[in-house]
Amino acid sequence: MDTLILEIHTPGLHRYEVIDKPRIRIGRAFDNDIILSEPTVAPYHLDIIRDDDGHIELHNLTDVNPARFNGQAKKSISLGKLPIDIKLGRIEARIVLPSQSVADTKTLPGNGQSQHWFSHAFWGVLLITVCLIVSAIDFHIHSFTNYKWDTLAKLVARETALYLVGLIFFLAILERLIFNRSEIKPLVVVISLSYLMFQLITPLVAELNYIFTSHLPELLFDITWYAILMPFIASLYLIHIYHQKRSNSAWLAMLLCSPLIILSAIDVTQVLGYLDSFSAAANYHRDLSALNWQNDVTISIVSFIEHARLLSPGVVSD
Amino acid sequence: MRQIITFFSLLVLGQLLQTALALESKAIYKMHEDNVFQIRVLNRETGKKSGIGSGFIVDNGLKVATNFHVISQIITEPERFTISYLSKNGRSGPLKLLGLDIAHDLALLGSESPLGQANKMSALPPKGSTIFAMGNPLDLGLTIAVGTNGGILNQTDDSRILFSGSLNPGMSGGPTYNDDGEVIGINVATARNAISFIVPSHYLNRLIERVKKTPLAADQDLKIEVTQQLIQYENNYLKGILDQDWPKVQLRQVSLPGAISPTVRCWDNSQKLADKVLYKRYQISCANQNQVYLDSQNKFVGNLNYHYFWLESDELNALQFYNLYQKLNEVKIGSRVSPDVISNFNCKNWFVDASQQTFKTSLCRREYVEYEGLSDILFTAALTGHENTGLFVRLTMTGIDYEASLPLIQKFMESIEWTP
Repeated sequence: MDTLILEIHTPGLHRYEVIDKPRIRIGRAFDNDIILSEPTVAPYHLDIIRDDDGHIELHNLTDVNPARFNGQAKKSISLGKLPIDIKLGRIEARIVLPSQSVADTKTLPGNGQSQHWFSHAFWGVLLITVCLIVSAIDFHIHSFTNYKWDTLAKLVARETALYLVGLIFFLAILERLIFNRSEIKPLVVVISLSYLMFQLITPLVAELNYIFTSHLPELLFDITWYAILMPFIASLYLIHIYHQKRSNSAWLAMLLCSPLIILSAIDVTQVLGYLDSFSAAANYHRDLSALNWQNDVTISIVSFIEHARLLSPGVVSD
Repeated sequence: MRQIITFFSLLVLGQLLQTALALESKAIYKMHEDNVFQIRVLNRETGKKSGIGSGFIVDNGLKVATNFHVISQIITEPERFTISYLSKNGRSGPLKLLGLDIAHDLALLGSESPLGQANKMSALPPKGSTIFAMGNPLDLGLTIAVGTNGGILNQTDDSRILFSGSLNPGMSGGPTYNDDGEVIGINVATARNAISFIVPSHYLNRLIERVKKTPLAADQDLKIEVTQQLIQYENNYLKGILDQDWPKVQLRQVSLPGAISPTVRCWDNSQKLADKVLYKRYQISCANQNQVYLDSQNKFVGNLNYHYFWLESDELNALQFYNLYQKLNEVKIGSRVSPDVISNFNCKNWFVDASQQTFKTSLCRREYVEYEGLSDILFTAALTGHENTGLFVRLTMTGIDYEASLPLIQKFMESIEWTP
């Protein structure tokens, strides 16, 4: 029999051992041929024995977490059709022929250009700086007192910088847990771009609210942002940075964004429920705009009173 | 000379005679202790009292006058409650409702058997005169409180006399006497610190006469009666306001309706802002004083409140200013009522031209569940189109006929004058 390959699945890149000796012993003890430093692997877990005729037998050496061959617990097996899956404690492995075909090479999107851009520290630093400037402008627009520069800087540092750093830190940990690695630079770029997009769209949505004297644009934006755009961005990130399959990335993105989706769904449900449930407060459209673009025509007082005559009372709640 | 001496002698004699004839509180108490009762609203199932007040015998000795708010539970839940009286000597008996005057918080009750000697009615004595209020405060027994007549209050639509004396819960519906022991009014409310209010007796006389002509039918829906009386009163009140010229109040660049009725009082509510704040705001609030008691759930209706809120800044840019303007507009306006008594508000927005300025207006309306035809109205108008100047107008009316409120809103908007 030819030389065989033992493929040991470990987080990150797999480990490959050549099986070309008459006897190879696998276990956690240091005198094994292949050492697996995994607590669920026994000190002497598996023997791979090749006889003079080239036949190979696999012998289980432990009663604790015994080795499983193609999912079945057996004392020993003769090696027949390859590949064969082996489970050693929590470690998954398989024996393959060197001629075993491998998956096609995944091409980098845009010939690797996008990864290059996303992974460049310059863009990360630039975008974070833009985020902080935009945040400072936002604080300035929403402040009605005489802020000094140092107060504004403290506010930006406390509110925005801390928030962005916290988010990047949290997602980096998540990356490490899922993929056993963290891509900090692309993460910074994507989070910064998302933040900037949000800061840009929000005032536009408020303007649309005023133009149509309605809260529908805000409601639609909430649904779109949290249930569609955020998972879409996360999915793109998984495809481009972690080379996940499209279907896998979509599911994983939905899973990662599920807290946001659930929160936005609760929010929308509350808004819709709010319209039906009783409220002692009058909920009228209060938005005002410096641009003062409005879809409704301005009417005379007499015309207003004629319209007002048709206003019915609100619904009585059960 | 002799004539002058005679004139002054007669004057002094008259005063002495009047002083001698004027009764003291002890004598008034003695005179009326048998014809002033505790009025009790009893739960039919337990026989125990659910509410108490006071009342007194009027007209032919078969009727008792009290406040509407004392017996209002039988309007909302006639199947649960009944009314009875309890005299000082322990005599008691059932009473039935004969008539109501919602606007003046009066009720007239009737007994099948004679109750005693009826009280005599009289007009209001001069301001400053000593008057005596009798009643059963806090279920502690019949008592008398001495005070002075502060005159009829025009801010209450002439429906209240100011009594500088102490009324306490349980005395509502009791009589107030002049120093001859004649009823000049009915105890109705207190603002504490010896400031109390009395309903003038002529409203009670009017109610007695009305009951003689058209008493309440046994099977009459009392909520409909309450609604009709309230709408009639509020419509007359609004008509009176609409028929007169309104004084103006100048708030920076705009002239607005001032106190549009003698019942309305306006106050400056502008707050002092910190030095580092980059804007100025001014606020005027106006409110009427002649609310009407409806029932224990809705409490008082007939409110007419309006607020003006002016905002200006030379230092904020347009974006900053409108962020502030909208933030101040986001204060929610509501009340503590439950869905059992009132519907949701239904609101609609319009952009309206008033005095060549565009206002973003909203009109909200909700209706009382058990008083069909009664509505609460909230009208707001926010000035638009100015870079650094804002104005909110907010008008609320409660327990009112919606249709009747629209001319007031129209006149309100028409009275806004922009002075560049």
